[in-house]
Amino acid sequence: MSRYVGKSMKRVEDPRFIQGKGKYVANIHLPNMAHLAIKRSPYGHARIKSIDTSKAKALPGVIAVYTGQDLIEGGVGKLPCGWNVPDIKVPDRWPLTPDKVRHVGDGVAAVVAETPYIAYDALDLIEVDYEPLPAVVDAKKATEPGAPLVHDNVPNNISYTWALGDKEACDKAFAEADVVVELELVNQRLIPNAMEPRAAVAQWNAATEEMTLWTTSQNPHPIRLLLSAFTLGIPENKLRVISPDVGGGFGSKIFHYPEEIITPWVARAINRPVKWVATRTESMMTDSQGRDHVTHCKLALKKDGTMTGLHVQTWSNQGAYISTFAPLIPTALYITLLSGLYKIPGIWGEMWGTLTNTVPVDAYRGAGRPEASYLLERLVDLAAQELGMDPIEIRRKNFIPANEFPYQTPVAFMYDSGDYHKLFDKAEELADYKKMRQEQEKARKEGRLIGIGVAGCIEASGPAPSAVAGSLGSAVGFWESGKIRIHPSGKVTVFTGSHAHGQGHETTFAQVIADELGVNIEDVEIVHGDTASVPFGMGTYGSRSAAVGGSALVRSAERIRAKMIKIAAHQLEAAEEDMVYDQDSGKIYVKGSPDRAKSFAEISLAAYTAHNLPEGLEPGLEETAFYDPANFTFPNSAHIAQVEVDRETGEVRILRYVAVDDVGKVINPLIVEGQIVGGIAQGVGQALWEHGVYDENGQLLTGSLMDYAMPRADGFPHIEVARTETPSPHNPLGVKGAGEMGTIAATVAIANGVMDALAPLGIKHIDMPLTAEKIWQAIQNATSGNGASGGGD
Amino acid sequence: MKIEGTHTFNAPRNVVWPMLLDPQVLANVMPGCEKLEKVGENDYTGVLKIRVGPVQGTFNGKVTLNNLTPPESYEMVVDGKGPAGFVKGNGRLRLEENGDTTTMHYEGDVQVGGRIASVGQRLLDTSARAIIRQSLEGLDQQVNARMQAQNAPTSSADTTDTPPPLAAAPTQTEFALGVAKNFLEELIPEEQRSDLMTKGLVLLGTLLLIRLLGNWWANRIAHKVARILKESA
Repeated sequence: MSRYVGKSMKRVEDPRFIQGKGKYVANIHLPNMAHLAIKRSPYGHARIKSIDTSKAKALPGVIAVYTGQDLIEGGVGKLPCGWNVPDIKVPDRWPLTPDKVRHVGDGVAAVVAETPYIAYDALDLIEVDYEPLPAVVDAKKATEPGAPLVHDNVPNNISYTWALGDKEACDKAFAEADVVVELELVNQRLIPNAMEPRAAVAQWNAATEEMTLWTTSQNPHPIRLLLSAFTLGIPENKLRVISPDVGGGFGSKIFHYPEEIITPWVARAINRPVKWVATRTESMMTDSQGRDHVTHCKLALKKDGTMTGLHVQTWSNQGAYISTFAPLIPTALYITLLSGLYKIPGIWGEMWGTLTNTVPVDAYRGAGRPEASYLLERLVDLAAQELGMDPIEIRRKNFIPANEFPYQTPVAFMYDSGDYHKLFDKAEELADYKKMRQEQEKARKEGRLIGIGVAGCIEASGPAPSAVAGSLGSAVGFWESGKIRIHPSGKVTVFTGSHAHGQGHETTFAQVIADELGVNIEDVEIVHGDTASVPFGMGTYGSRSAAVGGSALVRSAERIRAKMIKIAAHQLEAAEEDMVYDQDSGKIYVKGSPDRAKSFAEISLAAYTAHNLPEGLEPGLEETAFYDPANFTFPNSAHIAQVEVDRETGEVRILRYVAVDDVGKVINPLIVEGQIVGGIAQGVGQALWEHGVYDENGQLLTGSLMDYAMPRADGFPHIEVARTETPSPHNPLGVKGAGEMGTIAATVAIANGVMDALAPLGIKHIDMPLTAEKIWQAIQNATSGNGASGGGD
Repeated sequence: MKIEGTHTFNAPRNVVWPMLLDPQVLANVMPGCEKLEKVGENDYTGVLKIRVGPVQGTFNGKVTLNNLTPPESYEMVVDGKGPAGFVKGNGRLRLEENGDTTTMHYEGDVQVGGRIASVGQRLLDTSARAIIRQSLEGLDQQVNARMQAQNAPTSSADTTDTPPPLAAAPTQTEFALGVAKNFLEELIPEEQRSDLMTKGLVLLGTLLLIRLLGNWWANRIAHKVARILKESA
């Protein structure tokens, strides 16, 4: 039936992107446009005693300079939190801080000038008198007595706590366990680094009092809502938010940021278009960052390798303020995933969300799920080692069997579908796992440190049933909108409330709709990212676009087909139930007489001429659907990494990387493979190189790409990708999320591989990133006999 | 950032000590120091221009000396800030006389923030050490000049009042070379240096060539891709 879905089609958006013809916010030039720059704190924590802007204001070309107090007096509001777990304390966060700076990069003043260069020069002329205060940067140390308070009204720097699971069953499992393995670990802070830094352009129409804001957002409608209801105060029907081409987000462009409030506020104040574009360093010290957990965890098992209990305590660094969805990540996207692929009866997870003098932390590709997978899969490997079992054998022993889906975990989620044995069968076959182990044995005898890292991971993607989200603390729903407009000529425009910033929606959604309606893919145009033309939509994150956004489009297409059938039946003088809609050709005919068919274009035109419509049927051909998913989808993965550690230098080299993922039905295998491979690169980045580092005074030590190591092509072998397919039973496309699975599995696959390589030396655990220096140090400690239990910091 | 070290001057303590309190001398030997003035009994203000990697900035600072025990030791507090960030530090300095020479022991704790810390981090330690080393080299010259002036046979009594000739402060280029030199010294053991220098030059030339060729290739590939796309579109 399907002409397009399931086919590897090249992305229709790529020619414009790789030829430099994409339209990004920074490409927007408006007549008479002024330029904004933000004065930022060099201190991790300091009281603002005074700000002298007079010299900056006197610089020729400077139009105006504003402080935090000016903005408050000008009516801006505090940035709200969109996910309120019980008893959360959300400290005040203003677009520019008026009293204290709480992290390096915290904004204190804004300059608007004729050129960006004048604006930057003027920043240097603003004199801020600071009284430096002691800082705290560590998630756990922030809660200790005597730690400096980031916000005076949040005692012990604890914004919220959350716990989930069955404590009694967990305690019992540990009391009756034959074996317990434990880990103290740090899941280090990551800096997102989308290729395109954040940017905003605002244009105020004083005559109509309408504001247009172009912003680098993954979700323009929620941003418009927050601007209207909380921060800027311009009514939603007078505010148009456009997210044009966006060069990557990875979560960091979901959130509401100060600059997208300040830019339109200033545009209105000076009645001129205003543009702000972040520098790379500015992005590194203001974009919400990822991970940063301090965790203590332990796993209880029986002698035969059966997992019985898991206890997790996590201190989750929230940074200096609570970012828009920050409390969701280490709660409902973290503790709920602790069951992994396994039947573990006694799970108890507890966490503390703590404030520190660092950049706020929020969702970053994987968001909570890589943190959960990392600790669980590390523990499983330690258990296998302890019990002398093969890492895959112990996993298989504990898998939820394929015939037990839907499966209710002890941590809230009900997994929709999966076949984990089949998944690992394929991975073992592709990797030739047995041979890999034999080779490892041989290499070890030669003194080489070869390791095989296994990871079996679960993800909850496609958020989310709105009622469930609401019960967990969400201030919004997580349905998606889809609208299809058939033009009189039979051409199709599709409006999706999801947003593409690298995902390729213009291709995949066109494949879906062309198949649903039986039209040529060239006749389908995908529109997204403009609140003026697209119905309210929730945007893109959590690998939700296909499962939720795609499903909304399928629903609208069903309604279009139903209406076209009505019109065709009327014109062919037949009963609706006798009609056939041929989805290969778009032709509609009476069952048994395809020769007397009405074409898609004929019915489209008929709907608009309205000369001959069934009685009571409205003219036009346009349908909108709002799709609220029945459940998350639960993609899962088996990744096997073969690595070698250089004994002399500690350097890690990836020899092979095999990834088998079950992401349900696949719309475009080429795009899915790209997502998986890109995700793996990002996951490996965390395992081996990336680390956002602060010193004890709150200085960001990794504020440039010279100091923050991003993954590069030369660090990778060819990544071998394959799939298994258990369709999601509850969405019409049968799809599951594919965007984050690679990242979730790769981090721990590599970490397990490196630890497996180092196992002969008695090294049990080293915290990420597994840099050559750390590994070398651990090898030195282990081989000099004074640190057999492990190394690293 | 911790700073610690010792340095030996070829002069007795009573010659070295006053020089370490003389703003004119210090301003002259410190690379990037544009001004240093005594504004109070033990207070100085100054302007220091620093370049760390890609970050360049002018710092306005205040130096306060505490617990002066002439001619033996003092403590100092430094507080400077500028558009590129801030520098805060405290240090201790002690002079030990060994006959004709004086050994200076110094240690300090410096906090650096802002652009200079977040972008220049990787070069911070080396730059700080280069500043100290060059300052000390400058001081050595000044001390030697003063010693020569004292030791020269003089007929008139007022010679000691004439300030000795001041050695010129290093220029920006000299300072940058100094930083590079420090890097090299830390990276490469002395005995391998000349050999590596030759190899380094060859490597540098090769890299330049690859870079140029690389650009040419990249352009060709980009054109080819664009053409294919055009044809397939």
